[in-house]
Amino acid sequence: MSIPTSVAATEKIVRGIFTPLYFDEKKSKIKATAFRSPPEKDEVSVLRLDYTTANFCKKHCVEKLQNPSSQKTYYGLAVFYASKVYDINAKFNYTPLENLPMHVDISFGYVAIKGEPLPVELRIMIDELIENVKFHKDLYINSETWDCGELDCPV
Amino acid sequence: MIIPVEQVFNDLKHYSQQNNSEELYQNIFSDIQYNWYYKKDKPLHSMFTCTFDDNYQKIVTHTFNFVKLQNNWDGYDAEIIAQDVIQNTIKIFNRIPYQSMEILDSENINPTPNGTILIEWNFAENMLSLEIGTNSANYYKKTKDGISFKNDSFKIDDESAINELSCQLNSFFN
Repeated sequence: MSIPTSVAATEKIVRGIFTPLYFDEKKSKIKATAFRSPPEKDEVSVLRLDYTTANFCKKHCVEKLQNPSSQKTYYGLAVFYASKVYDINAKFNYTPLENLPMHVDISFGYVAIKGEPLPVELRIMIDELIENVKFHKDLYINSETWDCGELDCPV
Repeated sequence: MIIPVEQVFNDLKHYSQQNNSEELYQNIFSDIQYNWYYKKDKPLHSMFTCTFDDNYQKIVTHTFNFVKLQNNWDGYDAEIIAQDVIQNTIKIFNRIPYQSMEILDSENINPTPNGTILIEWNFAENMLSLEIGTNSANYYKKTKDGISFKNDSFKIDDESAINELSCQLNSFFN
């Protein structure tokens, strides 16, 4: 399947969610840290669900990203429409990786500076995005497949 | 649960010895002393006989523990949390209304990949998000009607900015 370089507003986007770093279990809420870029970069790594499957997304999170010693224990998947990224004036950069042709990065238009807070406006943008994300908790963490139904999200 | 303040300091001292961060401990200790003596207008000896609730201890210890994070602690090249940032955070904790410390959940104090600390207060339908760095901090407050207040950047030692932050936190309870 050929994958277009531009991300359509109607595409569903997935980001892996890990505890405790990305999720507040008491309030059942995604933390702002879930959508923070690495230092000196402007890229939040996500997958395009229209060009992969929920099973693959889970497998990628568990096998490649999970790292309990780094506060990252796989917990579930966050899903949202690409339009929500465009709505906050952020964009996608087409960044396919080896074995990950469906990989893109969200770019907020700001490179985080070491030791300095992100600008308030950008932090508000990230919060707005999180408000439009639907979190799907993985109820069957030990299963090799995604068994929690359709990955729907707010339109 | 109420615990003696001495226990807070002993625990912090223990952590600092384990993590080669005695200087950070000394700075925090001095700051708490300073704050107690000058800001609370109480004699210094009373600090050692007072009690804190265990949430204060939990929060300070949780924050102090960020010294343990190594480079790449999130698996995505995250920066360490510099001792200055931890010290700045505890400095602010010691200057804001005690009531707002009681409702702060340690789970909402998080390190960020670029080496800052992000703190979020949630109270009823209100939220205040504070991010603290090496030299400065910023925050915004959100109510059900949207963003109600923000400060784009202030220096940690800016007393008037800390007073304004305290007012914004106090408004949660009014």
